Amino acid sequence: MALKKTLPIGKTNLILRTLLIITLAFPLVMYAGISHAANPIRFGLTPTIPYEQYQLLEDWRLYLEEKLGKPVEFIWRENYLETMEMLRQEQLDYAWICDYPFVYFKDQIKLLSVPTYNGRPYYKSYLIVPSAEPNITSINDLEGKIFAYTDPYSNTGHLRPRYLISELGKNPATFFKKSFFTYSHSKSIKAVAKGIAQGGAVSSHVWDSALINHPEIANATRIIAVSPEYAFPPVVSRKSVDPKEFESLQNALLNMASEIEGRKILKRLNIDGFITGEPQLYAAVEKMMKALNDI
Amino acid sequence: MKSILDLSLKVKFPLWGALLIVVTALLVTISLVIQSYSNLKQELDNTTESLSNAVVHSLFTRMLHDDVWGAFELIDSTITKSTSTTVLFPEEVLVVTNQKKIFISSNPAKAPLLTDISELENSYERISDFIPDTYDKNQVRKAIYTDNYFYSISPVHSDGVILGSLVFIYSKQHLYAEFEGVLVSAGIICAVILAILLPISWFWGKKTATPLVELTNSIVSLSNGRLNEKAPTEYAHNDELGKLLQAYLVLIETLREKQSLEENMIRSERLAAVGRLSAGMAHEINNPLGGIMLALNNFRKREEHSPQTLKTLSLIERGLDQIHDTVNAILVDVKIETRFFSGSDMEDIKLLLSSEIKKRQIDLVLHTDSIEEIRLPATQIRQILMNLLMNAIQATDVGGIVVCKLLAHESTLTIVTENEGSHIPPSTLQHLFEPFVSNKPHGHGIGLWVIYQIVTKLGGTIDVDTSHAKTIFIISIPFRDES
Repeated sequence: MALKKTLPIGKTNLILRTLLIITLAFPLVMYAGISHAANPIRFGLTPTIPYEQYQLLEDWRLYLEEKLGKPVEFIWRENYLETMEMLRQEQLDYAWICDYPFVYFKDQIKLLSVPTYNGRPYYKSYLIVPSAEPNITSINDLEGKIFAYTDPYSNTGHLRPRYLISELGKNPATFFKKSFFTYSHSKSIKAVAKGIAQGGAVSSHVWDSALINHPEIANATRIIAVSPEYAFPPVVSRKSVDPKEFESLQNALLNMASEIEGRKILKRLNIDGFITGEPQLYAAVEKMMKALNDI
Repeated sequence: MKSILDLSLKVKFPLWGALLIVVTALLVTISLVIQSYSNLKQELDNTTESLSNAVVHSLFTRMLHDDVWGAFELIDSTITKSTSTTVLFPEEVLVVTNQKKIFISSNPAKAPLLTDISELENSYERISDFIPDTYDKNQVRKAIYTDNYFYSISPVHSDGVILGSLVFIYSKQHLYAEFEGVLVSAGIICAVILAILLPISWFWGKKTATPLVELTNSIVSLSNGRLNEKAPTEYAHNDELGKLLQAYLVLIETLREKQSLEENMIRSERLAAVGRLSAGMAHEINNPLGGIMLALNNFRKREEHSPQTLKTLSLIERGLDQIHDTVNAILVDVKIETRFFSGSDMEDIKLLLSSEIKKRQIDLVLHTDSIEEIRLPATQIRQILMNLLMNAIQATDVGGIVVCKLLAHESTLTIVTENEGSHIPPSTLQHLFEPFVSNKPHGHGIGLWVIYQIVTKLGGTIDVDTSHAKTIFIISIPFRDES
């Protein structure tokens, strides 16, 4: 009422409209500002690493948050395929995956960094059997027995043992009496240790870490074959990620080895550090995949 | 052979009490133990039911997807993990397919994957019998107890489709071990309770029985004619037993009084009879005797006699005198007299007794209240005192004590003499106041007879008490009236 009396009508209209626009625009501006400022880094974790060490990974997450100055979310998924799908659907920005999915999905992702282990960016596949079965000494002896794979998209846990069988001239699909997936290197080790399966194939990094952290489980198994080395499971990002963010995360990882806190975490992860790496490192696994007609 | 029912109440009461307590304790303990076992089994059943229900649905999915590891993780979570062997979690779990082969087990070393369960008979008793080939519509969980194991077998089902069986295996050893603990606790508690209650019950049983037993003994001896001097146990309570005891004491007292009264009456009657007889005889003798003595006297005086005749006459006269004396002694006549007993009479008595006292070195203790005058005939009282004290002195051993009390109380004179020394035997006591009954080797034995006659004629009573180590005579005589 007062407004009508004090101000002329034409000017009132203008002022009101301006106020309305500002009022409507304000939350949008705020939202944009906030979401831009607080856009978390969504990082997917898979069982390629011994990821039951939840406390360790939480410490790493906090470390990264501090270094990057923005929130970091670790998103845990059981299998590689789901993780890859999430990257594709942009529900994840980055992920630490196995070498096999890296090759399989290489058109959809970018290589961010490769960890180094024992001084080199490589790891191996161990063929393991229960210690209580001294008569099984090679892949041959596992014919007609029960075998534990890790993930269908795992190199060391699925591709490599199948390759070994095919090298024998046998069909991997029928070689074993029964096989099953544990979806985790740690769980495969347990399955073999308990005698549920008479054989299994696991990442050397995970087995070596188990020997340190859970020797009673690792020692219940015995390594009967060691593969050649393959490039270590990489950290990747989706192709559409922000380049600046990509770079800052990469740097954070690369610099971990030169920071005291970083080194502590690296030690607990049982790796030496991160290097930039290059896709060519994964040539050997690509060759195996082609040999088995996976790609 | 003595029947157990004939045992003394002192044994029976506590025994019954003990028996009751033991039986009760045992019954309660046993029923508690049974209840406890039943509860344990029920709890086991319930826990198994819950575990089964929790697991079966997820297990179905994993079996369906052939997810061996997933199934393993699931059943592994139901196994007992703690070091204490709690009986409520299964020791082992088997998941068996419809083809009766092991899909997964918690102990793959014992039950490897894909083995037929019929091959596992050694490890699991008759298990292939227990797992049904088909389940009925209700698809209910089965619980089976064998010698060593408890099996819980549930179908792994969803939406009416069954993929296999979930078998929980519990070791009975652990069940028993756990139950043994309960049994031992129960046993200990029972033993403790018994240890406390049995002695208490025994004590109370005896405490209740003992007065009853004593009272019974007293009554039995009463029925045998003996009046016990001492009363049975003190019993303070006023229940039936207390009342019985009271009644018994009253009965005893009444009986004693009656007995005493009877004895007194009999004695009095006897003495009275003797008195009548002797009086009668005395009179009959006295009458002719007087005549004879008079005739003799006249005969002597009438003419001259030869010395021989005179001697004979004197002899006859002496004899007749003796008869006269004796007869008169028996006839105790209480003549009416005006002189009452006084202090000087007492002095006389002392004098008269002094030689005998000296001869036997007796200590004579006299308790006489200030005796001014006793309103009773002096001669008779003197006679009583003399006879009594002489008897006492002669009965006491050399160097002993004789006590004499004279008490003038209200309207009665009480004379009490006490002496130690030779007892009066019970046979003599019966006939004590009768004439010619004597304790002494010499003497007529009519001293007490005379006293009795005098006392009775004066309206008094005389009693003798020989219960203690002394001989006590108690005489009570009522005073004469003023008139």
